[in-house]
Amino acid sequence: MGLFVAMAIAVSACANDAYAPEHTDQPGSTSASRNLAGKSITVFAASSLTAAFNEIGTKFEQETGAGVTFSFGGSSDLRAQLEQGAPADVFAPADAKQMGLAKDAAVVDSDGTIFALNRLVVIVPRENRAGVITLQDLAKPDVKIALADENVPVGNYARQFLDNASADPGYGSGYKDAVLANVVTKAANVKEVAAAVQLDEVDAGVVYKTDVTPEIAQDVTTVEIPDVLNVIAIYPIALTTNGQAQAKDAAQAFISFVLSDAGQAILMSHGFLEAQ
Amino acid sequence: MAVRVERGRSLQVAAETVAIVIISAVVLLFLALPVFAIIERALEKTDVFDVASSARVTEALRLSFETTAISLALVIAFGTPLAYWLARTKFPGHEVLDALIDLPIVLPPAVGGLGLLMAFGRNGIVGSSLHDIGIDLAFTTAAVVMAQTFVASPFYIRAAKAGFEAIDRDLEDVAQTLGSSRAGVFLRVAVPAAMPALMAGAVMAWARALGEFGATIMFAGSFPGRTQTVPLAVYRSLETGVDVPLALSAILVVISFAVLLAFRLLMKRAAFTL
Repeated sequence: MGLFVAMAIAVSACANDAYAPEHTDQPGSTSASRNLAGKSITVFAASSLTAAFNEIGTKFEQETGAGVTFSFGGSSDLRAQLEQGAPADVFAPADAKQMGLAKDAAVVDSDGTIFALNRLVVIVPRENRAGVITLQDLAKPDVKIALADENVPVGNYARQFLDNASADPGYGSGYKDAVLANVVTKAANVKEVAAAVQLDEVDAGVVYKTDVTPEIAQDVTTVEIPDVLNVIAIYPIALTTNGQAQAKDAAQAFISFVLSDAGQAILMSHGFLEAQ
Repeated sequence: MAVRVERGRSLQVAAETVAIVIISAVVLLFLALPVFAIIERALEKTDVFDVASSARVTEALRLSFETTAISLALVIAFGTPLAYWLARTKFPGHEVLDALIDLPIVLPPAVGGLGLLMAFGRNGIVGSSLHDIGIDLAFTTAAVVMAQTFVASPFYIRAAKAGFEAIDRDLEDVAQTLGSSRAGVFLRVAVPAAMPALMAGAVMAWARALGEFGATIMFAGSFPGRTQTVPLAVYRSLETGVDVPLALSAILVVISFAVLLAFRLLMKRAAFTL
């Protein structure tokens, strides 16, 4: 009898350790997160979130004991996969358009909460054999440019930036067409664009500021796009409708964690702008 | 007693027949259902013919047929003499060469694409010299042809080599004693005799080139009308709805099936006339 009680106490002590590894005052680690241990969620997120979300995922797993698996890709690809029944609990695309289309197809339950902003930059290989110094240089003949496909958020934003520039007398109305004539590939996601520039296979690419990671920065030079021409990318996050019912609390906790001070701090450290 | 054994045997035969029919039906259904589903769902769309004649579809089809025709011509022009030489010359280490030729069959196509980029990209081993004289191959239609040729040539070379090995050497010896040059023997004796094998290899190589995806997207990128072949267009257009990929897939299924079937019927006739 005595032995039995001792064992029961030992087991419950172990269980408590496992369920609440540490106590911090982050919103993600409230008492509600105790019953998330052992649950596992899948998050479909825009390629540009890769580094930031991997870090957030690790922190979230440490705090809650729940597991997170990410599938990063072009937001439009991920949305199409969701519509074909791909199993995911959370969707975080890089624009409101893809979230809207996902909502129209009833694969997410809302327009989501905006959790981060981003902006565009032009990157050029360190070697810069085409001599791209200014944004005007993108319109020079024989400059090879990688853009994301127009259906991919960053490809759509990049074309908005070209529209803005074409409306500016400093660039001229023919600017957009001249730049588009230089496009040699329409990539499926922003990481493909960054890789083509990093490998010096193209002369320039339009990516998010956050894609210039320390690793990429070694091989590329950044040409900034002034605020008046730039486009602010918006990242919404929402629960999917075909997620696992038993893991809905874990999925909601992940979204709360992304929106928490801890999650926001990680996003800022990767260069994202705070969503007001 | 004997009757009972007979009955037992016939029961066993019947059971075996049923088993083989069921197993065959499962395999055939598994192979045919996805193909049937594409055709059925494509025809279900009322605007299938509008979609099939849209610029996005015709552009991809035109590019695929042009590039695979060029790739196949290159594979045949360079692969036939190579296969003949491999079939006729035995030298130490020819297994190494054979394995090298087969390598693209087992390599993931994306690995082939990265290899092409490292070799022929503008920083590549050969590509950097080409760039200096003003030739850039990556992200061009030429890159699509190179990717297709890379992945498809082993299928042709293997079949052609086996075809040349199966020819009666006496035929070639007689032709040579009658005064034919080596090139004459190759063109007028060996190639006609190995024709069924060459045709079979060409059909397989063409089919592989037509389906090529991974090496193309790595080395040639994806640009409508220039490098976006049908497989790339099917993949890229899925995000804007299922209509365009369905129409493209249905057209590809019908054409591929027609080519394979016509080839088989031709081979059957050739076998009778031989």
